[in-house]
Amino acid sequence: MSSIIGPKQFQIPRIFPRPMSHSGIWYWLGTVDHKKIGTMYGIVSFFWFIMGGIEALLIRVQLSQAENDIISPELYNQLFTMHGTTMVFLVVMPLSAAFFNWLIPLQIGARDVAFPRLNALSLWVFIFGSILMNISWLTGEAPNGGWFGYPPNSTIQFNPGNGMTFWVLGLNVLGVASIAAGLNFIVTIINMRAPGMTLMRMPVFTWMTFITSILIVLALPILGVAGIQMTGDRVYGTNFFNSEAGGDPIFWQHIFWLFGHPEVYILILPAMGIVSEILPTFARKPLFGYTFIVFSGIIIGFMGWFVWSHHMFTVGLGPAANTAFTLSTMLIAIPTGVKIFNWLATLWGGSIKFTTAMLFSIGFIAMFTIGGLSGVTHAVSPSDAQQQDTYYVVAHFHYVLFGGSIFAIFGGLYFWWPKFTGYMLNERLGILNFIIMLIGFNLQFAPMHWLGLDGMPRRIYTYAENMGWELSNLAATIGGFLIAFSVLIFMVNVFISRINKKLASGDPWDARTLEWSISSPPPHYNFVEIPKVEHIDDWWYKKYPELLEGSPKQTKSPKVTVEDTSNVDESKIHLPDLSYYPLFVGVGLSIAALGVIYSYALVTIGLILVFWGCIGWSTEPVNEPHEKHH
Amino acid sequence: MLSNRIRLIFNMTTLMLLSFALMSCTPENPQSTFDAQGPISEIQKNLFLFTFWIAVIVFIVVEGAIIFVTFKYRRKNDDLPPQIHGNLRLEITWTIIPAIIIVIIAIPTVFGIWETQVMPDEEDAIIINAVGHQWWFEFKYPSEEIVTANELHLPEDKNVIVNIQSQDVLHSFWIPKIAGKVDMVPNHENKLWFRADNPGLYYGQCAEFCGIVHAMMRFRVVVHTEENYQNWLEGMRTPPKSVNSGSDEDEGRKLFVGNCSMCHTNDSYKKAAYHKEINSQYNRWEEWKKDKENSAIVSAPNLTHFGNRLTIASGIKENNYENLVKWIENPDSIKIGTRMKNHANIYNSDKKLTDQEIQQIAKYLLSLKPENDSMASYNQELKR
Repeated sequence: MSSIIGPKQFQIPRIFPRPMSHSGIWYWLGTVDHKKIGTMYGIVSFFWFIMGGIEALLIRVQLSQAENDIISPELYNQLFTMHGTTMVFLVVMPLSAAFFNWLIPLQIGARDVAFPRLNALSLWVFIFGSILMNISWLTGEAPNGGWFGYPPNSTIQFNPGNGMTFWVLGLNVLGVASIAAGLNFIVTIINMRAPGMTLMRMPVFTWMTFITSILIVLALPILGVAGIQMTGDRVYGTNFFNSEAGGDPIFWQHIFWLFGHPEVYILILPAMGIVSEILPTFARKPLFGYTFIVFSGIIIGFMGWFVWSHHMFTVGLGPAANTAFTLSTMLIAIPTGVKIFNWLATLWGGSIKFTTAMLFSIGFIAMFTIGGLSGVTHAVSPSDAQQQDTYYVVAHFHYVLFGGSIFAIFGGLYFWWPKFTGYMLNERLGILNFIIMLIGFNLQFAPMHWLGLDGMPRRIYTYAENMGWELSNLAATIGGFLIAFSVLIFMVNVFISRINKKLASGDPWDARTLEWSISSPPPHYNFVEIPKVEHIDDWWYKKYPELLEGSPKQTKSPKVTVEDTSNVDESKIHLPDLSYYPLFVGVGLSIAALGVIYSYALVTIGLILVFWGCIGWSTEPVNEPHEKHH
Repeated sequence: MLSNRIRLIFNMTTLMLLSFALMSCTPENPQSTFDAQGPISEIQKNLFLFTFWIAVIVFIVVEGAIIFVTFKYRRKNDDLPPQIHGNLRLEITWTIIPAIIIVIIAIPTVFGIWETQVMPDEEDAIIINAVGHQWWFEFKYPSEEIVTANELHLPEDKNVIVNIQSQDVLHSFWIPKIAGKVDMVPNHENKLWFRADNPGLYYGQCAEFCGIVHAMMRFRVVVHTEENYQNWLEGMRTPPKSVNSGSDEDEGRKLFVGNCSMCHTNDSYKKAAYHKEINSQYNRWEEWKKDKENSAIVSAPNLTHFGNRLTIASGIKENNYENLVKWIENPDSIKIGTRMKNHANIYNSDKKLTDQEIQQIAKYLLSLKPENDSMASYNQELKR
């Protein structure tokens, strides 16, 4: 196949020749391969996971006893602001994006995402946006107004300095990355499915990615608008939220949570997708009630738009609004409950193998249930007036976001690690990792329930001795260090797998979906031939077609094996060439944003980079017109 | 082998539950929401417990099922389990069951919302205007024309309506044992009502992040018998004992007038002082807004009859001579980041006070108590 050459058109001078090798730093900087991009998403967001974890540990050290003064109040405020911002925007979202990138093309039988260069743009904008936000630490002015940035405490009038400006600009840059990625995956999932893969034959993870992407595309622009308004207030003297000029702080809360509540589902739906892949694999049973699980996901995504004011039960919206949002919030418990029961039914009657991935998934159900139940107690808005802004809330959302999202993500890492790297992780270490994380997690966050009910507010850097909060806080701190230890075990496990190089087969878990039908790690073109899909869990039924006829006691040995790639003529497979332009645009955006704080010269440089990148991007041919592919 | 493991898990679970039980259920803690001392917190507690016990049932069912399947359905051999794709009837059942549970919880919840949030008749209620400041609480009694700070005095068994405002950023007004919180929002006025059933001392704390010393924005609530409440009101309207000229207290008074009184009012016992204080507090705020970096003036707590206050620095330390001297000497040693430290001339210019002057001011402030103080013994009791 000859390469695609665009019509003769204006071409700007090519300062950087396209990298053509498949390794080395220049290759990684220019790659548009969804797998490489997924890997980079994973590595960078894991780095921020460590940073956010260190921030959490410092918070826990400070709170371990009453009247502690290890950390100053100013630093403490910066730590909890950056812990929340980091874990939401730089860890759970991009770690989910790492899974989207790696798995979606593989699960739907495609060679790449719909817009590979846009995908690279998302990655680079994310990376430089995350750096932009954290540069603030080096200036000594890290954001200190909370991850929710409530004005007036976040306005320039009450919070001078650059901290919250870094925060809001960082969020705006990161929003670009998320929206681009969301669009990309929507288009990919709609258009690039292999023949025969109808919507209702898609793996559940693909479904949840699809719903999440729609939520991202609808929710992140709201944050973007709020962020531009706040940037205006802080830098250019506008008065959207400036209460001294009549601006309305409640206005910010509405738009922030109108984004913020769908955001919660952006964080948890991918986790639900991951678990829905792992449970059937190790129970050797199909997912119970595929249709119900998919539709409850859709309903959660839809109803997530009608509950935002439950974050605002105490701001004085009045009994009518509180009633409406109480009821809408309670309704969400129904589709969530359905999912939990369906997962349990998947396990029921199965033949369960307790791999690390499976343990994390079962742990997910157990912990997420607790978070869901405490969520129902929050929905009861009269009693929520006691719990709002106390440690009870902290306990609740960590059960959902750590016991939920992070447990599932770890499960996903153990499950797909062989596919991602070609090497197996050590299961013994994995199980140790799970057990310590489970104990540490509960030791840290369960006592926070009582702390909240005992009247300990959130975001306080110290508390008095006679309040009766010491024991629970000490337990929580110990738990925090146990979690840190379990993450360390994971890193050791990764390190050992690099040394031992225990090779993984293409389908080490006897799994069900298309990504397991190819070798581990997959070749850069993914599938030699695009598969034809006939069922849900197509790979499973290709392996064991006898299951379609009856219910045999035993599976015969698989009918098909993982694709052999030794005799593939790669030149027959069309893949997009590398491009540096996404990198330029990504760097340019962050430089321009930094310039908003420091100087217009930087803004100019950044914008020139962005425009140059965009023009170069739109004029470069998809593939280099040269001899390589002939 | 298996039964050993089950026993181990059982023992560990019991141990964990026990240690959790030890940590919970502590109504004696000063801010415990389990120790409801008024109808509002009572409704809130009962609603919580109602939801909680339903949640416990669901918890036991779900977690029990998880434990059950993990033991029952371990992989024992290579046999393939029955390949069940779903069961419509079952799935509809477990869609309906949560829906029914939700309805059961929703009904008392909705009643609770209207019971707690619809204000009672203003005619026979006490009206309080509570204003949040960075980082202290101002309390005004408009019908009694009394101003105080960081210490709310109320009678038992009487409806209280609090008009909740903020001067600067968001705060939240919260007395855990008496009523759940309501946010203090600039440019908005919120309302909260409650009733305190029993006399005593209660803790309150700001619950909305409000800047650097959010953690140290607390207050106390003293609930009196009706008689004591009237005494307190009376005391707030009588002048303090006069100080002998030439005494330390008298020197302290002069220093206070020269160094502190532009921000701290301490004579609101006078007639018509109420409206004057509202005006001066407003003017101080406007003055500060003009130049937030360098203003030497900022709105500050009213110190009328400060000698009777239980705490200093908005509920942080006991109000006694040693603490007060420390506080005036260097506010940062008790509460980092106060406006007083950042703006008052005595800390930011060459007009620094000597140790002796500080002690004199402290003595003067502690002498600020109404003449014929009928509350003295009661106060001593509360401090303990």
